[in-house]
Amino acid sequence: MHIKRVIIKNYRCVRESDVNLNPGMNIIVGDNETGKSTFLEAIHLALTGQLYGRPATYELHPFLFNVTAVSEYLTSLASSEPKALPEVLIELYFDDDTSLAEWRGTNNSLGTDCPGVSLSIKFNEDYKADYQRYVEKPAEVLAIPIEYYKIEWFGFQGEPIAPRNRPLRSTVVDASAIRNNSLANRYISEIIQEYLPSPDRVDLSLSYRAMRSRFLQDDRVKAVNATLASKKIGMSDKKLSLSLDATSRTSWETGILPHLDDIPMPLVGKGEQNSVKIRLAIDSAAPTNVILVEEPENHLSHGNLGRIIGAVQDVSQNRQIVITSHSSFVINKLGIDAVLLFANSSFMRLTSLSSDTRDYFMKLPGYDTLRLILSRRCILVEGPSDELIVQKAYYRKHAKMPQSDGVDVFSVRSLAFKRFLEIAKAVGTRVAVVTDNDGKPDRIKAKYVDYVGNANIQLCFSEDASLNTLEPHMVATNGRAILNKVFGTSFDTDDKLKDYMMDDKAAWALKVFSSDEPVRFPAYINDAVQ
Amino acid sequence: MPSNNLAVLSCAGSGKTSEIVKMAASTPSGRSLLLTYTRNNAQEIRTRFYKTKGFIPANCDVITWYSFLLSHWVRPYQRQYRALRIDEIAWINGKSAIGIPKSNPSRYFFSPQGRIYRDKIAEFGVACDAASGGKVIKRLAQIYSTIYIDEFQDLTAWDLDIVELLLRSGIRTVIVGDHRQHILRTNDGPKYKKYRGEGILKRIDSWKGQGICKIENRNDNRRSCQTICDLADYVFPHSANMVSVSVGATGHDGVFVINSSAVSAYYATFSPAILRWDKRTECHGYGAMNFGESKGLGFDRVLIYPNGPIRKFLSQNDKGAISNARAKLYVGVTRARYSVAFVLDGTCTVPGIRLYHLMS
Repeated sequence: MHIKRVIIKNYRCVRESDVNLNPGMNIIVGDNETGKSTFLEAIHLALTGQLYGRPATYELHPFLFNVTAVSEYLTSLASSEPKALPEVLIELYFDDDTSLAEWRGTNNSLGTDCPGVSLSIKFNEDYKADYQRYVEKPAEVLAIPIEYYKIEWFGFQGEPIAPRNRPLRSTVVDASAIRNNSLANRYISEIIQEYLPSPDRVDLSLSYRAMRSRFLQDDRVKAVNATLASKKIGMSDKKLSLSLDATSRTSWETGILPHLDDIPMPLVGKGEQNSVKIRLAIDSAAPTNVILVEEPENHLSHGNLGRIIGAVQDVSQNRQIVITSHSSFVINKLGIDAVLLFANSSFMRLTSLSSDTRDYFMKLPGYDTLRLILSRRCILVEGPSDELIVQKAYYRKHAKMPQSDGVDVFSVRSLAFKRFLEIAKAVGTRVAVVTDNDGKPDRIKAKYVDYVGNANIQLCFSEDASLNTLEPHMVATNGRAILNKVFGTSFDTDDKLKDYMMDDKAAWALKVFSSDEPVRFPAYINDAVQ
Repeated sequence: MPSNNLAVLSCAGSGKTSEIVKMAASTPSGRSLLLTYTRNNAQEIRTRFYKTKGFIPANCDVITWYSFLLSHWVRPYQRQYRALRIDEIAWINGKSAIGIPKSNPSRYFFSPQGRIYRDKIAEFGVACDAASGGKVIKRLAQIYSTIYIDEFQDLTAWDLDIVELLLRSGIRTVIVGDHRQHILRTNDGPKYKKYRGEGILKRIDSWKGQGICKIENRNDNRRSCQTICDLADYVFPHSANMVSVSVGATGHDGVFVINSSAVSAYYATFSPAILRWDKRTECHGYGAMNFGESKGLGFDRVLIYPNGPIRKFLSQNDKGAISNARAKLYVGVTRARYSVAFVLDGTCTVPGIRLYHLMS
């Protein structure tokens, strides 16, 4: 049982989106403000009817609506064609599992016959008259009147959803949303409640109540209450006494605090808390079908993160995981082919990646794949000297650094080039590869033959077999004199100069990078920075 | 392959509601749906569950016929006819949207408020299933492995087509009822008028002939004594006779008439439940229950205030007089365990009914 497709309209920063999900692992990546967290929040809202742990009806506020949609509405009011109030729509389409058949029908925006749920926040027509008054003076309408909205929460079969009878269960793991201790406790208690089998929960509740009545039976407490009873409080004739709070509906959650190695949970480090929460959510005995994880890398050490990721991976075999992350390590470990890239309200998958490349990054998770995925254009180079020279060449050409144009230059061992190119091809990032020819330009051509003619991928290397790396190229392009000047050296042969450069590649490149001399660059470097 | 579906033709007092509750409760796997026309009877089914098991099993759903139609036949695939959710049924009496042809579905099926007409809802459900290529039935078959319908004799018009679709669906369908107790109708539509009341047996026979259901008969009446059974059978001569089973004797057993002057003494002696045709029947100020309301209930003793046709039947032994009243009469008589008494001033000529004399 899993979510196949998610359609969101006008919810927070998502104007309109239509996302297909994998049955197991889904890793949501994207720049800030592309709607990653909103996406998780929307899924949880449509599955539980809850926002921030409370029924959504009590948590409605104008900022749940997409700003663009709201401003279009507000502007339209003064125009000749006023629009209706904007509506939020979240639809979750499930897979065709017979155990979900009850939720099956065509009451969804696609008119597709499948099980699913639909949550909308829309104008309540009972307020027609009030609304008419509200828009009488368009100039005074500055926000949408959330008071006139209602929430409709239906299955695709057309029946309202009762909180006890939900098609899929979801658990959210999000440490950053926990702002204070009481929330943290409630959060953990909620997870524990899901985690504990029902008889254990009942036992806990009963023994908590038994403890409360023992408290009142205690002689000292009786004595205290006798003293209190003998005092006249104010003008009242009524008797004052102390007891434990029995008013809360499900008493124990508020009175019991989870401890870790005998330390109260709120006092344990954020990282440990996060890792316990994720473990609990993952191990949860309750039939959670969908686990939503918000940036698990927050507050976690590398070692802890590795363990948690391992657990997430295990559980994704039989449950659906939707996880947001800013960490290349996380996405490489979990399988880069499960990445969904969010950008400009649309999304892209990396499913065309070969399993070979996926395994490569799983084994070598240190590679900064996310950086490649998120950049619009990047130049891949072989080492730090090439990186410095390419940046300098770019600066010379455009009078600014590549980063300020959103061009990312980064060095990757040449063995990984083809792996990165596969990702770039899948995402559509424009990439230039700057590589040495190692004295055999034909072999370079043969190596990248698959990418020749790809409009987004540019191969930059020298055709001159006698100039095998960057250093001889720099000498050939500039001549000895100018380089001696830049390096502050006085070599009398080209070979000695080359030897000096080969000895400390980063050092000479740094000198060129910081120099104001009119150093020229080899043609293949200039091609890359066009 | 013999059909898995079953029609149980049950006489009064044979425990038909108990039977389906027991069947449903003893099915550990798969989900069961129990349907009946009235809310009272749905409540009765729930009560039986509590009596037999102490709870309603998680895999058993009990809903009324109209909820079934709205939730499972109308809404899931309504979009082919109407995009806005159909919130409610328009509970009109009689024929809706007179003069509007079927070719205008948005007015033929729906009230101006967007509610679906009561007399058209089953027809709409059948149309939804047909237009979607059988998706309504396919969905139900994915949810339920067995559907039980109690009081099948209440189902009329298009509702019979719904039953037939269920019988052909692959969902095990069990219908129980008593054609003699046809006093309520789900639908007043003209379709299948010939299958109302006793006529429903013809429909069930034809289903059996098509191999889509088996028939079982239950003629053991565990509630009423034999004399009472005999009177009820006398009213329905074409149906199998009931056999009273394990009903004890009390010294005042059978069917009687009493003079209106003797009612207060009789009442004081036997405290019978008082039944009547409807509220227009004069009952001398006693708290009485209509025949219709008494359906499904049982009392030790019953005292009946007859209306005109029943009085004519009693005094002249004229069955023709009660051709439209015999279902209610049958229901009323078979509520009693030991004795039935009719209030009648004059002689009774129906065989088996004695005049009751107070011992004084």
